[in-house]
Amino acid sequence: MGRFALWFLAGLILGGIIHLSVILLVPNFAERDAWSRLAKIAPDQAFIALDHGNEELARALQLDPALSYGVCQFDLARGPMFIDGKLPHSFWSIAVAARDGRVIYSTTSRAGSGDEIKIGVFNPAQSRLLAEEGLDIGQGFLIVNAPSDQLTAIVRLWPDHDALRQRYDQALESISCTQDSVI
Amino acid sequence: MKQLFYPLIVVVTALVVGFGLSYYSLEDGRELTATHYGVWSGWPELGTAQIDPYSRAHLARQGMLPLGKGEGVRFAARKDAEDNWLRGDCRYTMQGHMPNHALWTVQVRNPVTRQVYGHVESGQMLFGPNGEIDLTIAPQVQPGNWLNTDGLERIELLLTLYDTNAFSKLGSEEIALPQLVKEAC
Repeated sequence: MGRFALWFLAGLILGGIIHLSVILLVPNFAERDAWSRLAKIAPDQAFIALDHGNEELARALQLDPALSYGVCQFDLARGPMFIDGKLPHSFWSIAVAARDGRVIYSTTSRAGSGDEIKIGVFNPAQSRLLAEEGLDIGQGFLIVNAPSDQLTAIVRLWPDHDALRQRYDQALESISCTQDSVI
Repeated sequence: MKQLFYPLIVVVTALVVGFGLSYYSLEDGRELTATHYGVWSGWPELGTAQIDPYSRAHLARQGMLPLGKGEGVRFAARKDAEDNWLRGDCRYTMQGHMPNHALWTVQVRNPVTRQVYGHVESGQMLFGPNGEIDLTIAPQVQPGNWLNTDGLERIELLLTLYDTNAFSKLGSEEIALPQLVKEAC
């Protein structure tokens, strides 16, 4: 009995290691996560308004049907990213999320920036360069330090009425998402 | 054969415990780590860069677009105040006050397929004299504020509060979200 308990305990410990490995590795191997789904539809360095009629996408990303969504995917390995645009006078929020779903930065229209979005996203090396050499960036840009390179910017915009959706979608797609260092 | 028995015990135990525990902790067991406000449960800390590995795995598995903590908080309810599963063919009332917010929405969806069948938002609501909300959730048209359940057998409600700081303050555990009471089936 004692020998059985010892082997069983070894199984439990090994099981614990497997469990921790699975939990830590799931984000790296997920093929149906938000990043992978958006990568199929998002153009490079541009905001795209998510299609309200695409029920499968809405279900997968668990979108709130009351809101309009604009997303831009980018890779800081190619340089810092600048997000610049003006949104309609309604409630909006923006989040910068890492590939694994961690939200690096988020703010809303009530945080004091009015209807303008001006964000510069830098990885640690670019942040160091920014501090040491002073990169030339546009005035009023908020600097976000991202610990990883592959990121998604998500803008949520609330259309007070359904009739406004098309115009609000155009506003979302007019937000620039570019690596041009001077805007 | 006897020599294989004990190593087999190790392998079977490790696989069952390892993968079983992982599945449980990302599915039903995840509720154990949720913060509960009456019938509503959620993870107000989910939308931060410092989320724990379980939440990261959960986000990757769910595939949902993350909601930053600065943007808002989402809660889900699958049971009413009497601890019975929510059903789309019953009539419920949701009454109470919402914590501070810029906007809130309530969605009714299928808990398995996650298909959303109806939603309301604060901008469409009629409020009481003290700002309280009285929303009827039912498959038939109701007077006042109404959210259509579409007659589904099992439903789940999602409450999203946008731009709220109520859950990041000291004493946030005392917040009372609107209660969900079954009126009739």
